[in-house]
Amino acid sequence: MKQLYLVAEAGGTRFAMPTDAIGSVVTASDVIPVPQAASMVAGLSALRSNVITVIDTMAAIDGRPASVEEGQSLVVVKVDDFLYGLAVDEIHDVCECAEAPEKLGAAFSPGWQQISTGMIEVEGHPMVVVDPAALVTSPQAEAA
Amino acid sequence: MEDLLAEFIAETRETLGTISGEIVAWEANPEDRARLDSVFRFVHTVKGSCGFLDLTHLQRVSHEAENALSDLRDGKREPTPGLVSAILAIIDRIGEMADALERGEEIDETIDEPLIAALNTSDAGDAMLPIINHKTTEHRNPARSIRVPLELLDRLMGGVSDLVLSRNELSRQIRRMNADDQVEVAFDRMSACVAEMRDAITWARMQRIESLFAALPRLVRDLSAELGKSVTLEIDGSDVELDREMIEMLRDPLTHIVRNALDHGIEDPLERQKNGKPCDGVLRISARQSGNQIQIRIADDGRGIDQRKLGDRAVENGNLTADVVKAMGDKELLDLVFQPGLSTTDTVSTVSGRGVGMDVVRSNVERIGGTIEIESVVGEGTKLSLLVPLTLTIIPALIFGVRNNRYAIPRSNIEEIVSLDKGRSRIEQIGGTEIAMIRDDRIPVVRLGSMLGGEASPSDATEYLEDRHLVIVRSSRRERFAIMVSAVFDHEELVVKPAAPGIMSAGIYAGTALPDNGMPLLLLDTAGLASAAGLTLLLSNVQRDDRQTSEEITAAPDALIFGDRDGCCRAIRMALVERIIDADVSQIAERAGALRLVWNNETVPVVTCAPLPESGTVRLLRLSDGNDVIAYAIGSGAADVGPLPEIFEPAVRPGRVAGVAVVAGEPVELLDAHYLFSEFSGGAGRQSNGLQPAKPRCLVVGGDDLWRHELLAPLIELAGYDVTFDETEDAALVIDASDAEYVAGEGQDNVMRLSANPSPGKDKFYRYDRTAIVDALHARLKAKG
Repeated sequence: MKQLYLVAEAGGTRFAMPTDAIGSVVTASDVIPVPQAASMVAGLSALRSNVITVIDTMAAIDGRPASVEEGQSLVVVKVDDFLYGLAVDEIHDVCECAEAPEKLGAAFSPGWQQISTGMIEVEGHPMVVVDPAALVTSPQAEAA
Repeated sequence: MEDLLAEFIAETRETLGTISGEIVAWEANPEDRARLDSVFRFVHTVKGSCGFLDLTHLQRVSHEAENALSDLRDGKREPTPGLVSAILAIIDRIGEMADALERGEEIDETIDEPLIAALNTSDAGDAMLPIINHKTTEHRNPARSIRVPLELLDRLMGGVSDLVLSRNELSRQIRRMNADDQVEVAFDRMSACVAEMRDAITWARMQRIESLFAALPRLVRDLSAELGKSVTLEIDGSDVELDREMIEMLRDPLTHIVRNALDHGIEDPLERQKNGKPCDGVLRISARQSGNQIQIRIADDGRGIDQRKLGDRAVENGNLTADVVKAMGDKELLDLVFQPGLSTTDTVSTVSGRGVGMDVVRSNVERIGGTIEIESVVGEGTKLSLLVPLTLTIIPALIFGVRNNRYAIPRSNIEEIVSLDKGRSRIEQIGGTEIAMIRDDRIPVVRLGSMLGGEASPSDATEYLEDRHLVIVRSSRRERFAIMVSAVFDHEELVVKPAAPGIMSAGIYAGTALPDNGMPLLLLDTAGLASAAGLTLLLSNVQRDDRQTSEEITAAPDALIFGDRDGCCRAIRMALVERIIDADVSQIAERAGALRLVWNNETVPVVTCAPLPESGTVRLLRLSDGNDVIAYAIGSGAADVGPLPEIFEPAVRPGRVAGVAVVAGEPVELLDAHYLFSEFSGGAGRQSNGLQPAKPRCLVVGGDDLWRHELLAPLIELAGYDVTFDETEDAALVIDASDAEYVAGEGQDNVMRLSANPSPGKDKFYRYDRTAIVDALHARLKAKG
């Protein structure tokens, strides 16, 4: 079974996301802050006539305070009927991978461990596969 | 019942449509178990529904078919072609009978006997097939309704909401580009279509409240049996329609109230007899629509609620002190029912438990933007009135600014907005928290700026500059507190959607919305805010505040004092002012013979005393008499709220100005709102003929409160009469301002009837026909001497 992945980069790390979860990629603008929300929530933004919740991908991984700058790319995903924009630094490519993701070993940090479903190999480089659903509800962020 | 029948017919026809394929397949291969099962299920369902709907003949026919099919399933009989045909004939017959039912025709029962006989004898072979008259398909009525999955409806509703939002976005862009007229005309047409669609889809989601009431007879029957009581249930207004989501939200509160009424309200038969009441208790449930709200009333004729006992309970529980309870009126005491942990029953029961309930009911009702009120007379019964909006999705809200961000609060939660600039309130620091003093009320203050902004401490001096308004809100748990905000922007109807879990986890948000400016907006949850701010309010405070504010309102009506466009200082009664609008001059133009403002899909007549500028913005007061709306253009300076001066020198001639008074050394002209509405709100207005000095008393009854207090009364007073609203007072003349006959009977000399209809019926007056009203007043009073 072949699966398409979107390869993106945030905080200096490349990772892959299954494309079937992704609606579109847009540029961040007018992000309205949401005080007291979970720490990975950077704010709200309008996408056409919908409100999307903007998530700082790195904040969800390592628990630092969320911040999204104008012009960052947002990967729009739909989880449980809510639209989220996952802020990443760069979008690289879409690639195809035939094999199912391999489980991560214990060497990964807990932040990555929680949001990933495994690891794939793209053009000879290993890459973490990120599960958007885990990213937007990451308990790591709440604990931090 | 008719609805259920229609549903049965629709369902039967629909299933017949889908299983017709199965039937053919089964006929081809009678051994096919799965097909046999689905045919059996169909016949079984029909039989069950018939029993329920009391269609005995159809039930018998389907029962026979079910028996035969059941035997086939159990292998007791063989699916011979004869039997299969007989069963198929029965199924066709069921379809035929459903059609006959829909057309209201008599069912010819004689046809069916040979069919049933064929079922039971056809084992022998295929020789005995009865001849069936196949005329069914030719004149089957086309279905007048279709069944649609709820998700599809929800999706449609969501789509239409999105459409409204995109239209708003487009409207902004068009205004910014100063597009030409043709674009605007096209856009207006699209706007109308969108509005039309929104209405249609809202209507499609409407469900009769019957579906909410349907479960009640059974509930009442079971409960009264369990409790050993005898209760008659009377339901009225089942045909009122309500958004289906709303119906779901009301299910729990209603069940709760009914349980309470049966358990605690209605006495057992022995006790009732002892008190001289009929053995059977009566529970009346009624629904009716008024405007865009639905009123549901639940009344029992039980023992009622003892207010004093409630008060005592509150003291026992430590919720209130004895002094506070002593000072409370009956109505306030009764309202204690909605406090957590209060009940007057002495025993715990399995039906409605004890002590929990009404507080939950109230918060559930308020969560959907409704209100609940209770009336009770000891020994006579209790009446609960619920008032809920028709739909959930669109919430009128106030948008305000906190530092650089904007938030919204549902308008139903807001009591009052007080500006700190005007010196009408001051903030005091008590024990590390802040209390606002507003007209002798002490209200805890929540500083949204520091709560949501993070770093700055409450004592930060710069903050006092930023936070300039207090929005006094009342949460669903009855806490009353003030939110300090930097700016108050606008009222807007918001399409509110739930926010993502990561946002809801903060506990202070109720949802998100996209207002007209296209920037996402967070709707605050007042109850969440109160608990997040750690507000614990003494009930006694809340209760006392209530009474004071209501006295305040009746004591002195407020007036809005402003500089008019011609430079004069004028005032208008505050209650008439809905809001202040800053509109672009391009939005105001001469349309249909009058100056009109186009504002949020409606046109509002504009009144101005001096020509409007060529460009720029104009400040307008949006005035409402409860029915009609007009906009009054004012100068761009500040507008102040102050008490309405008590003494007015009446104007020489009736006109836009009713009189003049002196406020703070300056003359202020009071606008004659009655004149403005009669001249400009679309009704046919005429000039009045002068006035006559006389001081007889005139009683005004019926009609809408705002209108008779703020518009009718000033007119009558101005003509030199005394006005009273107290029906117990003697009056020379009664004015019935209700369109219905509030004062019963015809041909009474001293009753004058007003109507909102510009062409009123016999013996009635159009309520803005000033001349006729004033003339009639004189004529009638003169006749009386």
